[in-house]
Amino acid sequence: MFYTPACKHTGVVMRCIIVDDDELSRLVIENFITQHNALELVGSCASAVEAANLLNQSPIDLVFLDIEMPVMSGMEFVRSLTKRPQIILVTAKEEYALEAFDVDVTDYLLKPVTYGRFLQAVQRAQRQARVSASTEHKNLSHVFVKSDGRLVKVEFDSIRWIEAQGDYVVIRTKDKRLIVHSTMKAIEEKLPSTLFARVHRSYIVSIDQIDGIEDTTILIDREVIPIGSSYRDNLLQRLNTI
Amino acid sequence: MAYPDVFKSPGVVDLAYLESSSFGRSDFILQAIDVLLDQLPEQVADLNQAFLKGDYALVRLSAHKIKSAAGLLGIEPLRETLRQIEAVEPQTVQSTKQLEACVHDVTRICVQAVTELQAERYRYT
Repeated sequence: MFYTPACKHTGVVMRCIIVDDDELSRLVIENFITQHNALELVGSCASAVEAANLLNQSPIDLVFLDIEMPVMSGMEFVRSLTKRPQIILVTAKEEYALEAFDVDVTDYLLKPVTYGRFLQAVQRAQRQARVSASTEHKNLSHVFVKSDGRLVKVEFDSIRWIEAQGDYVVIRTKDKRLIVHSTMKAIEEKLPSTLFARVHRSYIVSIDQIDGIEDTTILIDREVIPIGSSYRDNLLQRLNTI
Repeated sequence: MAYPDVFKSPGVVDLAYLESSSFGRSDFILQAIDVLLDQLPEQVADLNQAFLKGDYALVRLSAHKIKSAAGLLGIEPLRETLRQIEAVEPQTVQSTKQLEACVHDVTRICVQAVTELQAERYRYT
């Protein structure tokens, strides 16, 4: 498996991984992805186990997934996912089409995959991503968190940053400091990925609230927030820089 | 990048798919050929060993792996034979003989494919 740090998660570029135990099939799809401006290849995995680990480390929008693999099949992998990216099945067998329909995949590609057919599948994934993004934007402008024994409404645009403190996270808004019993991963999943960025193992920031960046730190309202080395590239690519 | 027709293989291997997927990158085709030269003999050996052991689940799995390479190399007759292997349920003497013939065919064609790929490799270096 190879892995590159998260980057370009802008909502336009889709972050992809390939999961296939056949090296040659991976090579072809890797080549297709690198030709496509709206796709970013985050990792190429030889097994579903590797892919599961990668999905835990980094937000992924799209998975090109083989079905017949040892240890865990592609279908078992899809069913095991709690937070699911879009899935495009890539297989040499036609007989899984019905099962694929059941697990609600975005598309089903038969090997050997032509670039034209690959493009169609990607366009379908892009359409679905746009629909999901607009739904997310319409429906979610806030989150309710349990703090001091009550549910408190927090508007996304009021959040400046969130920091981990042991078994708790602290949500910092302009005038509030809410202590919530949660993990960083759980809270990250509740936030729109277009507005927030994980910048450190213990910090998530609102991109709009960033006042400045200097080497390994972020400045938000005169407060200094560290940037983890593995998160730096991702952050810098998401900023609107000249 | 276009490759002159004079270089097209007259044998079982057809690199048209890999060429069309390469976007003119000969390094991609070379890399693909190297992977095939590395994995195809191993997969054929696995298929034969599985057949000799009578492990038909492994026979089907090995056939499935070779099918992927056969598709990328455009070896249509091999794909059909591999489909038959994947479908076979060798409960009778007849089906076992049929399977043996299929395994033999696959081995023969893959050996030829490897020889052709070794020759093709030089055309892209």
